[in-house]
Amino acid sequence: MRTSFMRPAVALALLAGAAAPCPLAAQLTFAPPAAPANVGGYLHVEECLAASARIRDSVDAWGAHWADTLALVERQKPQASIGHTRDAARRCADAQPRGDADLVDFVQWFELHLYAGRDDRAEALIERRLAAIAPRAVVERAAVLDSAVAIAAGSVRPARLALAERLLDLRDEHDSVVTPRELYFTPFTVMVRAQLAGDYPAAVRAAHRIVRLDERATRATRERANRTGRVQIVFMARTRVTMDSALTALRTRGPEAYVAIRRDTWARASGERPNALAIPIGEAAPELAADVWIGDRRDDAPRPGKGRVALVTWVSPNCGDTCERAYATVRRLAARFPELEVTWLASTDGHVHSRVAPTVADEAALMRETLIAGHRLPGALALEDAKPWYLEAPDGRRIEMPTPNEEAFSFVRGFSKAGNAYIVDRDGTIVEHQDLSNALNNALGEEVFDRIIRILLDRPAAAAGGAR
Amino acid sequence: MSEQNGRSWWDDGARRVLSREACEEIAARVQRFASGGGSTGVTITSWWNGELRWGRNEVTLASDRRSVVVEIERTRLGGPQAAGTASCNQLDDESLRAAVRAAEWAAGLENPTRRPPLTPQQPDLALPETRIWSDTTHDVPATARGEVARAMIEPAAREGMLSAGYLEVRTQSVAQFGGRETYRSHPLTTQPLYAAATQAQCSLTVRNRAGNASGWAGASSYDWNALATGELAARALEKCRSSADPVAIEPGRYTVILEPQAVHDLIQPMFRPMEQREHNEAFPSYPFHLGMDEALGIGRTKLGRPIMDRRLSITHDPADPLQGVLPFNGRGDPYRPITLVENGVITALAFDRYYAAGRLNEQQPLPFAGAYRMTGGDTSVEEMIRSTRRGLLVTRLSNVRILDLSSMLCAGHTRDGLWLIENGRISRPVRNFRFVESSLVALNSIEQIGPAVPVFHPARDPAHAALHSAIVPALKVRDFSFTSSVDAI
Repeated sequence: MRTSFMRPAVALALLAGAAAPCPLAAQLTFAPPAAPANVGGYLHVEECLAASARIRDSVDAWGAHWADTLALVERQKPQASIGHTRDAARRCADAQPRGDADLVDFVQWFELHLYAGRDDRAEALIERRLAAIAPRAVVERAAVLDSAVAIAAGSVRPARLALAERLLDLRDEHDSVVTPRELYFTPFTVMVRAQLAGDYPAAVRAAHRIVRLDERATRATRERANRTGRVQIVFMARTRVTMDSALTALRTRGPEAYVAIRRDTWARASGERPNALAIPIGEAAPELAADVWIGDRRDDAPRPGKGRVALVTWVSPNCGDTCERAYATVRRLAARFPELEVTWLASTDGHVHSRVAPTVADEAALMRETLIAGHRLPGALALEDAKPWYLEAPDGRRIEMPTPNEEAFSFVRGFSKAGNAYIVDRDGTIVEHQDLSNALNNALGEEVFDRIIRILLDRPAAAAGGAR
Repeated sequence: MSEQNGRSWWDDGARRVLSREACEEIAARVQRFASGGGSTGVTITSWWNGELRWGRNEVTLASDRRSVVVEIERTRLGGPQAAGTASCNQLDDESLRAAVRAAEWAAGLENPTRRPPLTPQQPDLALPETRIWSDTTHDVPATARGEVARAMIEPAAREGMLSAGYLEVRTQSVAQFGGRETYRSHPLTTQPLYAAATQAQCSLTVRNRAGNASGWAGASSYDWNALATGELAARALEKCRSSADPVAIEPGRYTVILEPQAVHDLIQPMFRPMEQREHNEAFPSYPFHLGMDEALGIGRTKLGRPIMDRRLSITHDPADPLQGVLPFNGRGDPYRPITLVENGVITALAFDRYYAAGRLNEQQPLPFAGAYRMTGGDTSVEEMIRSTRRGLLVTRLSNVRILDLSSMLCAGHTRDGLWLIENGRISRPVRNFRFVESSLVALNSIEQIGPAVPVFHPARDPAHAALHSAIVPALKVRDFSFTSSVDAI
C-alpha cells in the first residue's frame, strides 16, 4: 500500500537516481504502510515519549538504507517519517490532562515538546526549570543544562543545534562543576549531530568549543576525562579545527606538511610525541598482495598503481551490513572521481554468511555475487587466502593466519578491520586514513577524503615522470 | 466462505490439523501478496489440543482447542539485507496480506547490524525417519479421556485419598516454505518441509487428606497407548501410602538413590548450554568453557575431555522411537544423531548454521532438540537399595534452579516421596529436603547406574517440536548435599 507519506521519499529517491547509478527498486521495495502510532491509550508522558522514540528509531533505521544512495545528510532523510513522530507526539501530549505543569517531569516533557515540533514550549519549559533552581545550586543548574543539550542535540530528529548551542553557552559558566565526562561529551554530541546533519559551521563551532574548554581545564580534570574518551574527543575536535589549514598545507606544500599538522594535532590532544600517532600516514604504502583478484581491475599492474591516486578499503566476506556505510561512501567517491584507483582488501573466512566456501576460488565466486554484484562495488578486490588450519577433533575449528596485507599493517592495532580505508598519493605515500564503518567517521571521512582526493588528483607526482 | 479464503480447512471436523496440501495453498497465497522483490519465508503451525484436568478427585476442565499460526518473514536482498517477521492466526486473504505488509515494515525497522538472513537449506536435505505419529492419539475422543481419568481417580478416592492431575493429547503440524531465494522465484531449489506429530501426556499426584503424604507418577509419549495410565495411578497411590507421616532427619550429605525422574530433573538444566557451543567457547560462565588459548586467541571448550563418570554416555537420536522429535527445527535444519557424551567424555556441543559455516567450514548445523538417552548400567533400584547402608531414595526433584551456571550448581527440593534407607532396606519416609548440588559433581560421584527408562518430559516448545522425550537411568550418588528440611510434601 503506497500512501502520500511516500511521495517526498520517492521524489528524493528519483533525484538521487538521476545523480548516480543506484537501485531505485531497493528504495521502493519496502514501503512502510500508513500506520501512525495509536496513542489513545497512553496514560503517561513516558509512554508518549517511548512511542515517539520508536518512530524516531524507525527514521534512523531507514536512514541507514537511504545512505545507500543519498549523501549522509540529515535534512535529506525522509522528512515525512519525522512528521509521523511529530504527529504522534502532539496527539499524545495533548491527551495528558496536566500537561507539563509538573517540573518533576521536565526531562520527559522537554523531549516530547521537541518531538512534537513545539520548540517554543520546550524553551519556555527550560526557562521555568532554570528559574526554579536556587542561585547557589550551580551543580543542579549544570546538570539540567547538560540533560537539555543531550536531548536537543542527541535524541530528537532533526537535532535542534541552535538551541543546543545556546544552552551550552549557559553551561560554560559552570564548567568547573560539570563532571569530566559530561564536560567533553556534551559539546561532542553537538559536534557529532552537526556533522551528521551536514551543518559544518555548527560542527566547527562545537569543535572550537571543545578545544577551548580543554585548554581551560585543569590537568587533573583532563586526566580524569581521559578515562572516558577525552583524547579521542579532543583529537577529533582539533582535527576539525585544523582541517582547513592542513588541507591548505597539503595543496601548497605537499603531504609531508599535511602529515606534520595531523601529528601535531595528535600531540596536542594526547600530550604524547607527534610520532606516537598510531596511524601510518606519511609512510610508504606497501604493495598489495592477492591470491585472487575480482571485480574491475583495469590492468595487471601492482596496486597501489604508480602515478595514481588510490583509495584502499578493508572489507570482509562477512562484514555484511556493518560495512554498508563504507560501501556507499566509496561508491560515491568513485563516481565523483573516475580516475581514482579503488581497491578493496579481504582475506578468506571459509564462508560467506551461511554458505561454505571450501576454496579461495569458491569464496571469490560468492564474493563476486554478494559483494561486487550485490553491493555494486567499484574497482577491484584483492582476496587473500588466510591459509587456515584446523584444531583436532572433536573441536575442529578453523584457525586463520595473518595474511601479507594484514601483516604489512600489523603494528597498527585494528587497522585491517573491515571498514578502514586509506588514501595513497601518486608517490605512494599514505596521506589519510578513516574508519568508514563508523557513522561519525564516515560523515567526516567522506568530506575529508573528497577534499584530499581532489587536491591529490591536481598534484603531479613529486618523483620524475610521476612514477614511484 | 470460499476455500481460497482459508476457513474451509477447519470445516472438516475429521482433520484436526492442516494437511500438507492446505499449508502449500496458504503459502502460495502469502507468496502472491509479497510483491516488490526480496524473498518470503512462511512457517505454518497448526495444532489441536484435547485436555482434561482434575483436582480433589473431580474433573475441573475438559477442553478441545485448536489454532493455527502463520509466521511470515520478508527479507530484503541486495544492498543492506534485513528481515522482518509478522504472524497471524487468520487465513483469509485480507489478514495474510496485512501480515505480509507488517513483516515488510518490520524489515525496515530491523537493526542493520544483525546477522544476515540464512541462505536456504539444500534441496536434497536428508531428513531423519522419525516416529512421532499415532492414529490412536489423533483419534482419541473426549469421552475416552474422561473414562481414563475416572479410572485413575477411582482407586485414590476409594482409599480416601485426593487425586489431581491432567491428561493431554495433542496433534500438530509444522510446515516451512522458502526463506532466502524462495521457491517463488526458484520453485525447484527449495524444499518445502512438512511434519505432523502427536503427543500424549499424563501427570498425577495423590495425597492423603491429612496433607502429609504425596505420590506422583507421570508419562509422556507420542502414542496414547504407551501411557499405561493404570500403572501410573497405581504407582502414585502406592507412593502416597508409603510416604505418610514422614519424620524429620538432619540435613547433610547423604548417599542418594535418584529414581530416573529425579535424575532427569537434576540434569535437565545442563542440556540448554549443550545447545550453545559458541557461548561455551566465548563465556567463562558457561559450564563447558575450558579457558582462553592465549597463543591462538580463542576460547576453548571442554570438548574431548571427561566431564562425568566414565560409564555414562548420552546420545540424541531423532530416529529413536522413544525420543520422538520432529525431523527438523524452526530454521528448517534437520536433526541428526549426536553423541553428546561418550564414556564420560563430552564429544559434541550443538551449533547453528552460522557457526557451522563460520568456524567449521560445514554446511550443516548440529541442532539438538532436547531429547536424549542416558545409558551406562543395568543395576536395578532394588539392588541399589540392598547395597546401601544409609541413604535416601528420591522420587523426583522440584523447582530446580541454576545457582551457578559455570559449575552447574543447582538448588531445588525433593517432592512426592522421600525415604530413608538403612542397612539395605527402606526404613521410613522422611520430610523433604532442599538440596544445593552441582549436577556435574553428582555425575562424577556415581556408585551405581540403572537401566534407562522413559521419564516424564513434556515439550518445552510445542510450536516447533514434538515430545523431547528423555530416557534416563536411576543413579546411586554419594555425598549428595541437602541443606535444609522443607515443609513441602
